[in-house]
Formats: sequence, C-alpha cells, structure tokens
Amino acid sequence: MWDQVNLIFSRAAGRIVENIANFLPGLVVLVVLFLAAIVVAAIVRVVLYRLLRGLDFDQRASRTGLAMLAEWAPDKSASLMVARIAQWTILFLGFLAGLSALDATMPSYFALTVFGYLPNLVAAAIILVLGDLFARFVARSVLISAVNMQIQSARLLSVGVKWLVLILAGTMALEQIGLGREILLLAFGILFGGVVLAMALAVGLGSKDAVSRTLDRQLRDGSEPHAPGERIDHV
Amino acid sequence: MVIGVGAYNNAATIGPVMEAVQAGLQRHQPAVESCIVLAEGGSTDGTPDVVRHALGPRAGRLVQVAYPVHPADLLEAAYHGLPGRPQALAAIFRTAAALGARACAVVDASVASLGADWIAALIEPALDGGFDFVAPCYARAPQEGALTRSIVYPLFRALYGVRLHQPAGGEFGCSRALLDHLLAQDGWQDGGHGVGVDIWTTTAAVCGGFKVCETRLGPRRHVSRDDAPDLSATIVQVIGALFTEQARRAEVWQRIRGSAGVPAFGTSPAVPEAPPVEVSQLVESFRLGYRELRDVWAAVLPPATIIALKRLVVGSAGAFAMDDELWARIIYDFAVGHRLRVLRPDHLLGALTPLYLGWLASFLGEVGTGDAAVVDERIERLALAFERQKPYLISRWRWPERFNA
Amino acid sequence: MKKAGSARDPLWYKDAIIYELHVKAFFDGNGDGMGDFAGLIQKLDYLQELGVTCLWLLPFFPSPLRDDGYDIADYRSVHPSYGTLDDFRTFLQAAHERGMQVVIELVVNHTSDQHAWFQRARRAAAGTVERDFYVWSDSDEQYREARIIFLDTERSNWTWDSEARAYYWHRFFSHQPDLNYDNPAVLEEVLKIMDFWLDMGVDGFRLDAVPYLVEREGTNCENLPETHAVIRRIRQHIDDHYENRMLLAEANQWPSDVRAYFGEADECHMAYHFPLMPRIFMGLHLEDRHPITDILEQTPAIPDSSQWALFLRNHDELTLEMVTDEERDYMYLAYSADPQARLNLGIRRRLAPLMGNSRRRIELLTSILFSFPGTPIIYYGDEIGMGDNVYLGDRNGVRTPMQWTGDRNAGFSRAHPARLYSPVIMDPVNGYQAVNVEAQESDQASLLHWMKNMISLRKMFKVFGRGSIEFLKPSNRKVLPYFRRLGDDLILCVANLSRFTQPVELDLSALDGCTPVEMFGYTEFPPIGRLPYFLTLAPYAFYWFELQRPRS
Repeated sequence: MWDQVNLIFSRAAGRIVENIANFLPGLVVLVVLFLAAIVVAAIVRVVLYRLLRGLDFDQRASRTGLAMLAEWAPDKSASLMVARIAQWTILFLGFLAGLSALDATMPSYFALTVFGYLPNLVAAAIILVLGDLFARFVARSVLISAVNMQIQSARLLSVGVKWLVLILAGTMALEQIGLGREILLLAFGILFGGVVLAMALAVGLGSKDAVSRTLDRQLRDGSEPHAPGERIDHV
Repeated sequence: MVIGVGAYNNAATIGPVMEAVQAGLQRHQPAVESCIVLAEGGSTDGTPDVVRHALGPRAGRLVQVAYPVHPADLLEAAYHGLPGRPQALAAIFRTAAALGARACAVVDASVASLGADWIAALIEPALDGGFDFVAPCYARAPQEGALTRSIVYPLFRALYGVRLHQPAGGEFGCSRALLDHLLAQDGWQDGGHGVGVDIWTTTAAVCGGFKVCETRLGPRRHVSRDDAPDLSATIVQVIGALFTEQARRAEVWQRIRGSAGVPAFGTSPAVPEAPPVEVSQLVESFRLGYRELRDVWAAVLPPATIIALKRLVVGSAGAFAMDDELWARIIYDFAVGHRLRVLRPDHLLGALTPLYLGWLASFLGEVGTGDAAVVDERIERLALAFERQKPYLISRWRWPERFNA
Repeated sequence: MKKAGSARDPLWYKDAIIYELHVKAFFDGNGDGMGDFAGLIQKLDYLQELGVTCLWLLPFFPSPLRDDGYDIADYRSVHPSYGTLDDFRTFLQAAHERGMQVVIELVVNHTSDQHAWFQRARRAAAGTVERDFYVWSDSDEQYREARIIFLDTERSNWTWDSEARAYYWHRFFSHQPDLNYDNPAVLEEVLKIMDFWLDMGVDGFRLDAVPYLVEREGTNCENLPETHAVIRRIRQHIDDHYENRMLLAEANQWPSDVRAYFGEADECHMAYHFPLMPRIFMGLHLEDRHPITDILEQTPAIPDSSQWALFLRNHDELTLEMVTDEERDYMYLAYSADPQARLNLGIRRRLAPLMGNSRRRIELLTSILFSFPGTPIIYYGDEIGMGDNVYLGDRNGVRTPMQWTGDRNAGFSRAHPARLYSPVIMDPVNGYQAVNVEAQESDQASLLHWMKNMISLRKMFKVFGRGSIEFLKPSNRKVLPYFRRLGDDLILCVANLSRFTQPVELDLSALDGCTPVEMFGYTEFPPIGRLPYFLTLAPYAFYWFELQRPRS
C-alpha cells in the first residue's frame, strides 16, 4: 500500500511541479508586461502633458467648455487630467494583457478566477468612492436648484436623487464583482421603480396645491407659469 | 469718436438700434468725425446685412470686426445676452484705439428702447466734459432691477466709495485714457474676464482713479433671448463677478471710507410700468429656502444671522421686513465665503437666491408701487447700512476665523 | 530660448513675502527618503494657500554635500537626489503659474573641491589661467589678518594641496576653495552660469558669502572695493540683459558695511539685515526696546530701489557675529542654557524652541518681522512652529524634514524611516505628532491660520514693504511703538515686549483728530486728541493701527 501512496504522492508532486513550471512563465510575462505598461504609461503621460502644454491645451479647453470637466480634477489643469487618464488607461490595459498571458498558462480555473477577479474588485471600489462623491455633489446641486425652482419637496427630491445615485453606484459595483447578477438586477429594478414612484407620489401630493394653483392661473390668463419674479428684469 | 456695438444673431433687434445710433451721431455730433464699430461674433441670421440695410448708403462709416465666440460661451447663456461679450468689448476697444478715437461708447444690440439721444448722453461727457467713464442710469419700476438696487449698487458703493447706480450697465462711454488703461490690463486673452466683464470694466475705471459720471438714459427695454438664464443663474453670474473683483481689489476697497456721489447728466423721465409681482409668493420662496437651505447658509452665515432669519420665517407674512443691516451682513458674509471657497461658487450663490427674494418681498412690501423718490430714499437707507456695516466685512475678511466649513 | 521672469513690477521684491526652503527637507515625491522637486511641486498649492509670494531655494546643485550643498560641484545641473533639470523647469513654471517668484542660491565665493575647475586647477601648471581659477600660495602666511569664520572646525584659511604642491585659500571649510576674482576668466564663467539660470526664468539669486570675493594683503579681506567692483559688473550684466530680476546679498556685516552692497542702486537689490535679528531676540528677553531701536537708528538710509531682507530664523545658526561680546554673552545665557545649542558664534535653534513654544511670543516676533521696513523671510516650518534637534551635527538640527502630518515620517516621505536623510523631530512638545500641517489646517485657531491671515493682511498694505519707519519714545521702555509711513498711508504699530500687561502714553498730538483703527479686527479706537494717547497692552500684545484722518 505504501508503494501506492508513494506513487500517487510522487505523481501529484510531479503534476504540481509541472503546473508550476507551466504557470511561472505566464507570471513572468504578467510581471514584465505590467512593468512595461508602467514605464510606457509614465512616458506617455509626460510626453502627452508636454505636448498638450505646448499646444496651449488648457486655454483651448477653457474656450470649448471642456474645462468644466477639469474642475473635478484636483489641480484644475485639463492637460494634466487628460495625461493622467491616458496613463491610467495604459496601466489598466497592460495589466489586462498580462492577465490574458497568464490565462494561457493558467493551470487551474481557481487561480484564474482569483487573478481575474482583482480588477473587478478594484473597479467596484472605485465606482463606490466616485459614486459617493458624485451623490453628495448632485444632492446639493439638486437641493439648491429645486428650492430656486420653488419645488416644495426640494429636500425629498435631493435625498431621493442622492440615494438613486448611491443605489446605482452600489449596483454597478456589485455587478462588477458579479455577485447575484439576476437577483441584483431584479432588486435594483424594484428598488429604482419604488424610489421613483415614491418620489413621484411625494412630489405630486406635496405640490398638489401648487399645481392646481398654477393650472388655475394658466386657465385664467393663458400665460405660462412662472416662479415669482421670473418675468421681471432683475439686473 | 467710436460707437461700438457687439452683436451675435441680433438680426431681430439690431436694425432700430443702428438707425438710432446713426441718427444720434448726425443730430448731436455732426462736426466730430465718428465711426460705428460692429463687433460681430459670426452670426448666422444675417445680422451684418440687417446692419448695412439699416444704415443705408452711409454705411461707409461702419467698421466691422469679427470677434471669436467660443463653444464655451454658447454653453451657458449670459445674463447680458451677448455670447462672448468680453471678446466683443476687446475687439471694440482695440479698434477704437487703432482708429485713434478720442472717446468711445458701447451700446447693446438688443435694447429696444435705445433712442438717438442715448448716443450723445453716453459720449458727450467723455468727449467734452473731461470724464473718463460714463455709466448709464436707467429709469425703472420699483420691482425691476432689484438685484442691482439691493446688492450691486450698495455693495459697489460701500466698497469703492462711488455712488454708481448701474455698475454693470450694458451701455457706457469711456475716454481714450481709460481705453488705453483697460487695454493695458491683463486678462483679455480668451475672454479672461468672463461673463462679468462690465463689472470688471467699471471696477477698473473706479480703482484706476478715473473721473466717473452718470448719464440718465430713461427706461431700458431689453429684448431677452429665448435662452436667457433664470434668476438663480443670473445671480451666480452677476454677484459672482462682483465678488471676484472684490477679492482682486482688496487692497483698494479696504482703504476707502464713506462714499461720494458722482455728477449726473440728463433728466429723470417717468418710471415705466412693469408687470406686478406677488409679494406673498416671494415670502413663500424665502420660507422654502430657509427650510431647505438653512444648512447651506450656515456654512457662511453666523448663528446670529440664522436666528434673525428664523424670526422672519415665523413672523407673519404681512409684517415681513428684512432689516437693512442684516441684509448687508448677509451679503458681506457671502462675499467672504466666496473668497474662501467655503462652497463651490455656483452652490454658494445659488443659495443666495431665496434670501434675495426675501429681501425683494420686504422691499416691495414697503415701497409698493411708489414713485421714484420713495424708492431712491429707501435704497439710500440700504446703501448707508452697507456703509455702516463695512467694518464688519473688513474684519471678517482680514481675520476669517470661525468659519463653519 | 530666453524666458522672462515672472514678476511685472521691477520692485516686486519690495512687496514680497519670501519663503525659504530646502528642496531636500520639504517633501519627498519618489519615496527615497530625501525631498525632491517632484515633491515640492506637489506642495506648491500649500505655499500658495499660505500666501507667500517668493520661494528661496537653498542650493540644489550636484555636490558632495559636505556643507549641505553650499559646496557646489556643478553649477549647471541639479543634484540627482532632488531630480533633474527638467524637474526644476517644471517646478519653475508651476511656481510662476501660481504667481510665485523663485530665487535660487548661487555660491559665487567658492566651489567644492570636487568641482571640475578645482580638479583642473590643481593639475595645471602654476601661472596658467586654469590654475588661477583659485587662490594659491606657497606659504600659509599670506592674508593673516583675515579672520577664521568656522572657528569650531577650521584652524587656518590655507590648506595644503599635495597634488598642486601649494596652499589654497578658503574662507569657509577646507573643502571649499575660494574662486580667484583677480582672474577675469572666473567672472566670465560666473556670468555665463547666471545667464543659464536667468534664461530659464529664475527671478533672482541669493549671492552667498559675498563680502569675501577678493583678497588683498594687509586687509581683513572683507568688503574690499575690488569685491564691490565685481558685484557692480554682475549687476550691470543682469540689468543689460534681463528685466525684473533681483540680487540678494548675504553679507553678515554691520549695517554701515552692508550699505555698500546696495551701492548707488548699482550693486545688489537686497541685502540681509543681520544685526537686527539677534537684537529683536535680545529686546524681547530684556523686555526693553532699546537694542532694537538702537540698531535701526544706526542703520543708514539706502537707495529707493533697495530693500532690506528681514528674518527671524534661517537655515544657519542664529548668528551672533554682529553683536558686542557682552551682548553675545547675554544671548548665550538667555537663549542657550544648553551648551549643545551653541555653534560657532551662534545658537542653532528654530524660532519656536527659542521662544519657549510660547504662541504669544512667536506671534509678537512675527508681527515685528512683518511690520519692520524690509521684506520678511519665513523659514520653512516656522509657520507651524516646528521644533529642532540640537543633537544632530552642525546645523542639521534646524534642517529636519517638514512636518506634514502625524503619520509615519511626519508625512514627509514614504521611505523606511531609517532611509530619511535626517530623523524627523519626535520630542513630545515639537514632534510631528503634535506639530504638523494637517492638524493645523483643520484647526482654525492654529499658528498656521494665524500666519495665513497675517500674510494676507501684510500683502494688502504696501506701506510695510515700502514705507519709512519712525520710532516713538514713550517713557515705558518695555513698549515698542513706531510709525510706518508711505504717502498718505500712516500706520502705528505698538508692541509690548514684556510678559506682563503694560501701560503706555504716546504723544500723538501731531495727529490730533485722527482715528486709530486696529487693523486685524477693523475696530475703531477713540480719536486722538491733544492729550497723550493712553493704551494698555496685554502680555506680548501688539496693535497695528491704521490712522484715519478726519473726513473732510
């Protein structure tokens, strides 16, 4: 029996060694590709940044209104933002290329999933963080605009929009991870529909009077509804 | 002398304006060599043809210059209605300087009430009166121009010590000296002065120590475009420009105490009619703002101000009256908040709208449809409150401790 | 390509607030334990937010670093630890975009013994131009009247070079041979180096150790007329080829001698006022204004376009060369009870520890720095009250990494703590966990916020940089009152040097009818009448008043 055990053991050991031998080159390729991507990305970033600066890209961007995007970037320079986006894209692509090389030599499905899973996790985390930032920003924007548009349920609207964005971000993140895709979509649909319906009801009920007043006035003099003071020249 | 008109797709209104300009030139200054400069942003509705047609055979005195309208200028409509106005003004100024003009007046292509006498009123003080900057002064109903009355005028007056009623008027005249001074300033590239270029111009004139006067032009009827910005966006643009200039000129206005009137030419015509405004609705907007935006306000307004606003909210709508000093402090706190970037400028100034509507309610409740004298007296009191509260602004500006964000 | 400087006003240095920093110590961008230009660029927003308008960089050239970079081995490059020349260009542009001028250090008196010129000179035959780039002698007997500056390390100003078989002259460390300005080729090379940096857009130079350029027998070899002739040549060259650039002379001399470095506005634009600084510290400790008023009254007038550079502390020891022996003893007793803190003729400590970490005293001294006639220089870290470490050798104790956060390495670097070029300050009072930028930014009442407000207030009044000064002499000598005047602007500053509340009666009868308005809070005080104006000042308090004339 010991022979048997010994045989199986040596076979298993042989297979593991074989697998590792198959797997290692892929890993090396992954590492090399990734390192190359880092270098290329850095070069592209520097070159692109210089090029854009040379072309006065920042000024051009401000003329075309693209600079509004750059307001989101921490340093307010459109060319730097473009250069950074390019850099990260290349890094990401390099990593993907490395993974596909790994894929070819991957000995077990399990290892592949673990490695293949990483980008999704990272993406999910990024989506969540950005989603949260965006939700806060949108919530305040909506609140202020809604108040200025005389919408009585401004707060509700803003909270609703905030949660909409958050739910959307959360769903996208879960979708990225690939957890319970079906149930998620269904749940999201229900939740989304519910939120919209609730908001519609709330706004409708809340502004029932306002709407009827507006309609009354419209029927009376046929003019369009206006927020107070909207028809006069303030400046 | 040069009369500058900036135009971009103004075919509907520019004809009468041009006729009035030409008539004004012929009637009032036939002896002085004059020229009309049309700064044109690449209209697609045949504006230049309308101009030529309106001027008739004497179009020889017309110089047409192109100014660039960038896509960004079309993204967000400007309160004054002329996309790329900074570039248009720059083109007019440069052309006027190149033509060797002794004085230059700028009029808006969309003013329906522009009369031939406006030209003389705008340019004569600069040409013969020894003034460098001729600001307009319009006759308006109590409910019109309230943003200017309640913020722009008193703030400008308290800051720079000059009682100009329309620091951001669309029409103005200026002397050659001022023209050269303005062109020598930084920031003309790519419309650096942004939508508030008129406020920039006036501030530069006042801070540069130039002689300033006012000219009464009568009512200003302005044909607004379909995409004219709403009140909130207007506030963001106008008050934002005012606050931006304020931050840039801190070392000037912090030395100025009190204020002085400026010479005014022309007579005050009757105040035109304007559509009525429902005061109770304004109060309602203010209350809504207090309910929903209090947290945003609290980022810039001190607790005492918030409590004072709360008293207004719980009080009866009939006796709704916002104290002048309170209003002045609110504007000053927003100015400091704007400078410190406590919030994004559009959020901060967007949150000012309900407060402004509250002030408007209080103002209209007091003066009703009163005549010009009542309104002037009321605004004078407000302006004095702004001047009295100026030390509050300076202390907050210099030592901005305990800001809530 | 020749790039313009960033300033548009030729007198920009008069209104500047200068921030002195060491690239090595500011922020580490690449995680090697040493600050670099990449890191500095990341922190430019912090500096802009602080409000400073001009950055003065300590030497960042290739160097064996035996004197913290003041031993330059190549004038046209950047030390590899700090980045590349391209990094410097990027930094320069980024600083200019933020409206900050950049002044760099140029050591023109000496080079490192590793510099190619010196290696060439020691091998060249005696009498050749190459050899004569430096000052050689067969004996160590020449110029015996010149004093030795680094008393603690050097025995003579001559050192034997076995390869050249001659002695070479050095005013500082023996590894820093002095350039020979009697050789016209030297000045020519120096001017070319200046062009190299000015063409890049650098706004000015600090000329290190400028009194020692030329040597003559029978003199102390300082401030010689020949030295001034060299500086005039440099200034002439810059004025002829560039606009709005600035020369700042480091001449640790008495004011009457430093005066000569302004020339008739044809030498340096700026020079340090060295003797003022120890006397401010002395006045504070004595609780007597006399040392301060005395030195400023001894200070001669300077040309209109010239400016004093004022500082409280810098990267060197608090130097006590320009005080009398008795004053020096007083300073040692008062400020360096620990002999470890003394170095050469000075005290190697930062501002906050010198002030016993008293916030009031730091604020008082800063207010004096900001309101005296001249351009203030803030040493990096002093805006948050950073501490020092006297147990590090030489002056390294005041050149420790900037304290950004309470995290590892004070947030200065991601490197292993052992890799840092210098340990961070870790004592419980001034250590990075207690004193750092992050914490002070979140605290509205912090020293950092106070500094920001002070800087923006000072920048609003040109009178501080450009006006004249006039002292009042009330009987209470613990109170230091003075007028600053420029055109119609009149400002009255009153500082209490005492640790107790003090009364003072000021004779302001000439200003009858004016209203003093306290500048920080814009508070109106009672108008001035004919009687003496009475004020009380809390311990270490200071008032700045705008004197507003009655409205006509």
